[in-house]
Amino acid sequence: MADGSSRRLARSWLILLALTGASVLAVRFGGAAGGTAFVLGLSMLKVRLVILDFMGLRGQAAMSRALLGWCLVLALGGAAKAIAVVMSAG
Amino acid sequence: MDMTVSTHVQEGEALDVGDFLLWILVWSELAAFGILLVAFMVAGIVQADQFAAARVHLNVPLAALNTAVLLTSGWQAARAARPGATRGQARGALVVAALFGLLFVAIKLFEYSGEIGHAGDEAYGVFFELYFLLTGFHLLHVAFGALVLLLVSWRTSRANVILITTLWHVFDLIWIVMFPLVYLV
Repeated sequence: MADGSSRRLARSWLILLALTGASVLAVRFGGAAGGTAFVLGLSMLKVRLVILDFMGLRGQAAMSRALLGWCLVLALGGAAKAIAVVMSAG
Repeated sequence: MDMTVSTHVQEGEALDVGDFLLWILVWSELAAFGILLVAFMVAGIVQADQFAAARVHLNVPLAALNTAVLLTSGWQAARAARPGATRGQARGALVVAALFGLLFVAIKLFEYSGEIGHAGDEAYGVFFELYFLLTGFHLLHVAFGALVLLLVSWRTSRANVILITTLWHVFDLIWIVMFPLVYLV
């Protein structure tokens, strides 16, 4: 349940859109390794905003951490996959 | 059961974010998508060259647009569920959230039309099979969720709004994680 004001929710939405745009630009213009880490980091920021502001889980530390953990594990898996692909190619 | 008890039960069924069954549903979804995403990443390591060749055919700008569309839908769902929202405000926000959800479906289907021809091509390994399985499974969730959002906008109750908007945000979360793993990394 969202617990923020309309203004706060709108601000979070705008930040989420900006982070999405930054992800695409980072992949297009960034280097392979740095770009991957940056994009996955931006995704974690987006996930955090959705969990805390849109889902309203600021006061529920256990559930918000569990959801963040699910996303973090997959993001780290993505980073590990990128490293494995680079190492096998090189 | 007399009318008083019946009314009491309905009031007592009001959900909040601590509702146990809601979170069982949420984690079932996350487990299913987690397994699929791990399978996609493992296949991406085993067939790195094929996956890199296949990814060239994906429409990243359209997928990024779709991310923005889903986030906008999530924003409206959050507006519907905020404690101060009146019934009218919640209804309006739910309808807008559903329409953006359906727009996501339309854009995704358009995107598929340019990619479906590559499915089954051995040059791309299992990329497109897993891609359509993963994104198609998510697409079905979004399509069904959008219809439920419309249904709840018609039969608005606090419990229903919290239930569907919480699930809707989970579909958001899954897409936010899926987008870089499938399209970008």
